[in-house]
This record gives sequence, structure tokens and C-alpha cells, in this order.
Amino acid sequence: MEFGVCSDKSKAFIRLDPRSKLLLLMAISIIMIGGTTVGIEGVLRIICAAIPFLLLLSIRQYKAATIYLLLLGTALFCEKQVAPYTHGMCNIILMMICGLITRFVAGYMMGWYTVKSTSVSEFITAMEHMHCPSFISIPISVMFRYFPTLSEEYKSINDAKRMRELGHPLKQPLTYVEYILVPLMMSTVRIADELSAASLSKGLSAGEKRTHICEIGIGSIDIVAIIGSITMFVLFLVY
Amino acid sequence: MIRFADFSFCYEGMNEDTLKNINMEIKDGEFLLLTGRSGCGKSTLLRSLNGLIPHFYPGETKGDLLYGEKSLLKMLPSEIAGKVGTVFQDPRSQFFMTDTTRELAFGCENMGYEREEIISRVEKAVTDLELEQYLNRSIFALSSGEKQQIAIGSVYALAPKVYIFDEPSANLDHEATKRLAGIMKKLKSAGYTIIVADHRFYYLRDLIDSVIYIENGSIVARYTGKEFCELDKTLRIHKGLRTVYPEKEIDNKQDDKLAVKSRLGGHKLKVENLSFEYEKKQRILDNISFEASPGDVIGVIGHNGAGKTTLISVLTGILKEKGGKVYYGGKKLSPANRRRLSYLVMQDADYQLFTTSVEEELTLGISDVDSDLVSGTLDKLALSEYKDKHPAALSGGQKQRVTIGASLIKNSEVLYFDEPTSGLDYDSMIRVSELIKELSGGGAIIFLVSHDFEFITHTCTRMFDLDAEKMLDVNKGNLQMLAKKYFA
Repeated sequence: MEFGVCSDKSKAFIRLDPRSKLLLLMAISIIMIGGTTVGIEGVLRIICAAIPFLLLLSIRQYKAATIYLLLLGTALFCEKQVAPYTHGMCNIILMMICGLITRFVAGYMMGWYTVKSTSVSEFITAMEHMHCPSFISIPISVMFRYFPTLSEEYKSINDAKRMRELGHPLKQPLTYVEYILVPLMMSTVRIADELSAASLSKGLSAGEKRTHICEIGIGSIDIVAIIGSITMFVLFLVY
Repeated sequence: MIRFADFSFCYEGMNEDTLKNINMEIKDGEFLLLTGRSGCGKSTLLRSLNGLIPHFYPGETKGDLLYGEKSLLKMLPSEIAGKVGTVFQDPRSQFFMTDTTRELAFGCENMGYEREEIISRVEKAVTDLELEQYLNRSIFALSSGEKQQIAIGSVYALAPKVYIFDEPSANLDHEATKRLAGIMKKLKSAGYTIIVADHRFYYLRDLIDSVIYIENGSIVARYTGKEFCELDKTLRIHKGLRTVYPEKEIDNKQDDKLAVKSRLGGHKLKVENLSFEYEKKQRILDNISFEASPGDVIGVIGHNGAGKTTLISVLTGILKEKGGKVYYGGKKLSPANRRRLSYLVMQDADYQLFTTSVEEELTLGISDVDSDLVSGTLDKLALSEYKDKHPAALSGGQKQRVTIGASLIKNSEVLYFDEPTSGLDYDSMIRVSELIKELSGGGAIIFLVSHDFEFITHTCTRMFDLDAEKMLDVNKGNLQMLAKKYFA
């Protein structure tokens, strides 16, 4: 998973609060996966499919938006125009693939947009605004910081291991894992220790309430998004 | 003002005090250098200043440690954070955030300052320390030197009066060290108190007001900056101190011809038109060619990002070349052949220690173990008494010797050292240097990447300059050229 660095305000046409993004993501996924294609649900599906496209455009991800449009278009075309002319196994496979794409791709793209347009900082700030307790938000922020470190450490250890010709991943999988895990744990423990010392010296665990430099807040677009998501939910559940 | 009043400290579970009856005063605006051999208690002294003792490292304190009129020992870490700021040794492990801007604000966020206040503090840090170019970037994309500048910035934003630097130059190349000295100069002229503990201190020679020399937990000597810079060489070496003027070491370099004579017969390593790139159009190594003979100790030099580490990775076979050939004794080598032939002693020995005892470590991956060879190697590296110990329990220098030992047992003919002297005191540096000379005397070809001028002068017979892409002999003329780059 890769979060964008502190997202650049000037680059996005529409700036959504991480909380509205999460809500939209939920609404779109549920409606796209669970809904039928007829009646009011059909209309909801069209709206839900359009939202990720527009949002991708808003953060200038033109390539991703185009791919999304083509993928969805092809799948719908195949479902409606090609599938009726096929029979048997061929028909089942085609319907399955198209069904998967039409149902999942919108949610996936919305998720991709959320990740791409939200920085770790914004995400954590949002968590704390949602009154997520610090024993959850601090470990999660450390986790984000830890993934890249782990992969860096893994790379160095793997290089060292290859120099010693230790444990082939297929022939001796257990030895292989052992000689990765032991040094990895050693270095992880050391880094964790130094990290706690460094954060303590910068006043973390001060007991005082933490503040945030990243500004997030519910704006007018967020209100539209939130009301929209809730309305779609209600319509989806009622009909 | 900071005052140690008969201050002693004993870590929990230890029998002996690590700091013994420390008495000293650090004036406001003073630039103090703490020095002494590895393990003398420098780091412990710093930890007592920034509140990690007693809050992070528990133990027993005696005497008192005063900040102004108030005891530092009675303050909470959050209270100390606004007064004493610390820049730690390893730039990799002092970041809590993933992006630079947020990291700069991290301390202020912890203190619970208002958003506007945080922004103005971060802005001030960015302007004063010239950090604009690093803003809004991923921490993981920065070099060690850049990470350290961000670390200094995030301390600066908290506006402490006292700055502590724990071995700040250990992970830096000479360019980054120069920039660090520039920042310290700025801090000093702004009136901050600065306390630095480091083994290498040439870069501080124009800044130091006073020096404290610690031995075995006690202060055994105090100097003014001037006295310290003029210390007699014999006394300095006796105290295990690095030189203040590395460029003067050139004068001790023996005659140029000796280096050439030391070259032995045997298989040569020949590199022909070696190229490497991570991504298209981003050539890191471009048609590198050279020849190395047994007995050569080759220092790989070049500016930051010239591809020193990449060259070593390709030569050791960790990376596959994109073009060119490597021959040993006239035979072309594939990356797998190169891995078999060579051994890399990494900067961070922790990556190379896999087992639970030193002896096991040395024989790991060897099918027919020659026990005489193992005990001989342990003797040679002064590790015999530690042979049953867990590698993790050893000191940094000892860990490094264990990895060197593994290369001896593997009987590698080409050895590579990546920054072997980072964070080493004079004695350990000389020990590594002697060991490398001994290995090369035995017919090994040795490459080392190092920005430690004193060490290069002591150890190398040749240098491969990646900027000019040519092999140079280590003679006075070439060293003076390098010194000009490093110290001018």
C-alpha cells in the first residue's frame, strides 16, 4: 500500500475529507457489489460508477480514469452485446469475468483514489478527529512508517544472505526463513527501541492532547458527498 | 546553564556505575565536544541530559543535574523536550512520520501547540535551516545527510536552548558533514548551547569552545578548543583520539613506490566496460574499466550518488550488470560466480549475523569445517574469548570482526568493505586498517568504500575515482587533491 505524501492542495480540483472518502467508498462498494441493474438500483449504479471517474479526474489521474472507463465500458459491452451470442462454458466464463469487473472495478477505483489522494498524515488526523483513541492511532501511524523500513531491512539482509549462499527458498525453505527472520527481528527491535527513544525526546506520550499541522475539515463538497452517500444507502435499502 | 553536581549513574542490572562523579558546568552558548573511546560513557552522559535517563533507561542516579536552578532529573520528558533537543546517531531510526513536513511538525504536535503556531515554527525552521527543497517529500527517499537535516529541523521547531548531537557524522559522507558543520555554525552564532559527542571531529575544529575527555565513566581531561586542536600527536594517539587535521596525515604517507611494490602475483580482477542502470536512461555506472591485482587495497571514491555502493553491489554479484564483463584470472564471471568469489563486509554488521554463537557464525554454510582454521581465525581477530557468545551481545567493532572472520573462513579472494570505520574510535579504526593490510598481504584484493580520509590515507594503496572513472595510486599528490575536495 502506498499513500501519497502530504497531498498537494494545488493539484486537486476537489478536496474531500478522508472521512467522506471512506463513506463514499463504503456506499459505492456495497451498491456496486450488492445491487441489481434494474429500476432505481440501476440508476444508483450509474451514479456510483461515475463518482470514481470524476474523482480520478479531479486529482489529475487521467490515465487511471481512462483505463477505468475503458475497462468498465468493455465489460458492459461484452455483457450486453457479446455474451448473448455465446453458449455453454464460453458464456459462463465471459459472464463471470464481466460480472466481476462491473461489480468490483468501481469500488476498487474509489479505493485507489482514496489511497492516492490521502496522505498518511491526513489519514491519521482524520482518525484522531473521529475520536479514535491514541492507543490505536499511534500504532497505526508507526505501522505506516514501518513498512518501508521493513522492506529496506529485508533487502539488505537478503543481500547478505546471498553472499553466504544460505538457504535456498525452494530447497530449504525453513532455513531460508530462519536466516531472514533472525536478523530482521534483531534490526527491527533495535530500530523500534531507537524510535521510541527519539519520540520520547520529542515529547510524545506527553499526556497532553496532540494537535495537527495537516488541515482536514468538512467543507461544502464533503456535505454533498456525505448526504449523497446516505441518500444512496437509504434508497438502496428501501427499494 | 547546565551543571552536573557529583552526578553518577548506574544502569539497572549493572554492577558498576557507567558515569562516575561527574562535575562540570556547561555555559549558555557554549560549544562542547565530548570525546573518549567507544563505551567510555559519552552516550550515557547525553542520555542524562535529554531525559532518556531516567525515563527510558532506568537505573540509579546519584548527585544532581541542574538546568538553571531546576533539576533535570525531576522534569518530565515533555518538559525537557522544549529545553533540550537531541539529534540521534542513526538517521534511519529517528523518524516517526513518513513525510518531511509532518516530521518537522511532529515535536510541536506532541506539545499540543495550535496549528498556526506549529506552521509558523516549521516555517521558521525551514527558512533558517534552508530546508525548502526537502518539504513534502517522503522521508524514505532522502539520503542520510538529508534525513539528518530534517531531524535537526524538527528539533529546531521545538525551539530548545540546548542541542545535543550523538555521533552526528557517523553516517555522513564528507559533503553532508560539511553541511552539518554549516548548520552547527549557524546554531552556535544564534547563541544556542551545543553538545556534540563524536569520534571524528575534524569538521568541528573551528567551532569547539571546550572539550571534555571521558575515560571509563569519569572526566579525566578538559581542554579549550585551541588546546585540543594543538594536542601533541603521541598524546592524542595514546588517548585513542582521531586527528583534528586529517589532511596533515598525508605527510606521514610513505614513499609512493612502496604501494606499487606491494602488488603481488596471482589472479587479477579485470573489469571491462561495466555498466549499470536501475531504470532506463538513468545510467549509474557507465563503461567502467579497471584492473586490480592481489595485494591492492582500493578505495572507491566519488561524490554522493556517483555509484560507489552500486559498483560494489555489481562487483560482488548482488546486482547483475547491464553491460560489460568481469574477469578473474582470465575467466569471465557470472554474478553467481562473483558471489562465490567475494565477500562484502556491510556497514551494518547486524544484517550479516544469522546464528546464536560467534563460532557457529564463522562456520555457517561451510560443509567441511576445519577446526584449526576456525580457532586460528578467532585468535587472529581477538574473538577467542567470545566464541560461545551470542553475536548480538557483542560491541559494534566485535560484530564487524565476526563478519570479517566469516570471510576468512570462506576464503574469499576478493573482499569488499562498505564504510568499515563509521562510528569507530581511533584504536578500532587502526585495528581495522591493520587487519585489512594483513588480508591484502595474504594475497586478497580489497575494495573499500569510505569517506574517512584518515582511514583511506592509512589503509589504501590505490583509489578508484568514480567521478573521473580512473584508477589512481595513493600518493601525496593524489591525496592532496582529495583533501582539497574534502576539506576546502
